[in-house]
Amino acid sequence: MILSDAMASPVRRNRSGVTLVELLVAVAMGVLVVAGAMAFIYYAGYAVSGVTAQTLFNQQAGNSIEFIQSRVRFATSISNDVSGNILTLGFDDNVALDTTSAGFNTNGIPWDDKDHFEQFKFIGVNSTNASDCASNRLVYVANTQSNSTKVLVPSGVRNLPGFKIFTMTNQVIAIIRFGIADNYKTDKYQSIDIQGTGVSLNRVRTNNVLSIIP
Amino acid sequence: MTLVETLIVMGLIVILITATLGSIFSMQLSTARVSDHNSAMALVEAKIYDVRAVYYNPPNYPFTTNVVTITNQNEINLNEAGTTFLVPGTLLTKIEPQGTLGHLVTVTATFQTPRLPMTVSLQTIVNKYSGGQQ
Repeated sequence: MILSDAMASPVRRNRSGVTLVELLVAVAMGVLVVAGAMAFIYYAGYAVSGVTAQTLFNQQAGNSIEFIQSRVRFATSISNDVSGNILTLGFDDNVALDTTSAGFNTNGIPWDDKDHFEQFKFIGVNSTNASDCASNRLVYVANTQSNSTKVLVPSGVRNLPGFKIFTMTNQVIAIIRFGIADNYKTDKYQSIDIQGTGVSLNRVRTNNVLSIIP
Repeated sequence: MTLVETLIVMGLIVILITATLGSIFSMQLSTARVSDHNSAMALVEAKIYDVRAVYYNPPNYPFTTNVVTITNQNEINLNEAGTTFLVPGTLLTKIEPQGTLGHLVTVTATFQTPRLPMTVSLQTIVNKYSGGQQ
């Protein structure tokens, strides 16, 4: 049998490529790296979700209390319901006229009328527990004669222990206490609590406060 | 790719991951602190409103000719169960006469927040021109 020159040559050819073992090792290492990256992204995502939720609560709570205080400052009457879930504010729409409206008679003072009423409403279940307050919200009604509302805090509003949301003192001071808690458990517990006071500057002489609340 | 190159790349990746985790942790701490700051600021502002609601009739208390200091205890940071406030603090209200200007009201809150105590302060002037006075 006569072999061809090429087959008979003793010189080895320089082959490129990987062996099966090398390929398996590389694949295994790749899977480990990808799994690690995915786990990292997974948990980092939840952590960032928690940060975002907390930032949102901070903004909602701060904005709400400032807004309530700003409206209370200009109110000519303040009242709350028995449950402490609704704060009703009266406003004088024309300080030059002494008008009669909503059961209030003229009194010779043009700037203390109650021409329209606004409300801040807590809607939901009164509770302090974060898990019970998922659907609780705080809304603003710009005019009680209208059905339109503006949502200030869309979810997670809760009571502070031992307090109603809205409390009245001396008919001119509204004490506002509420918290916002995260009901999305996966990104851990996020919350904020707010305790503020609103004072009407349009109060009449008989309602001037005589001492600082302790 | 040599072993040295591989090690360098892995080192860079470890640094990147560590930095990312550190950033996220830092952001969590920061937002939690902003939350406490908001709560504390609301209490301070509430006290300012309380003082502004008082009938301004100097030299009757609390708008006297001397410095009046009022101390209140408060708490913030409600726990998840909604039963206990976790961070106690003190509100210090100082009312100082400022001659014809009226009275300078300074409310300072100090809360024992974890890692670093927090101090929040607000000031206002109360005088006969303040709204709501007689």
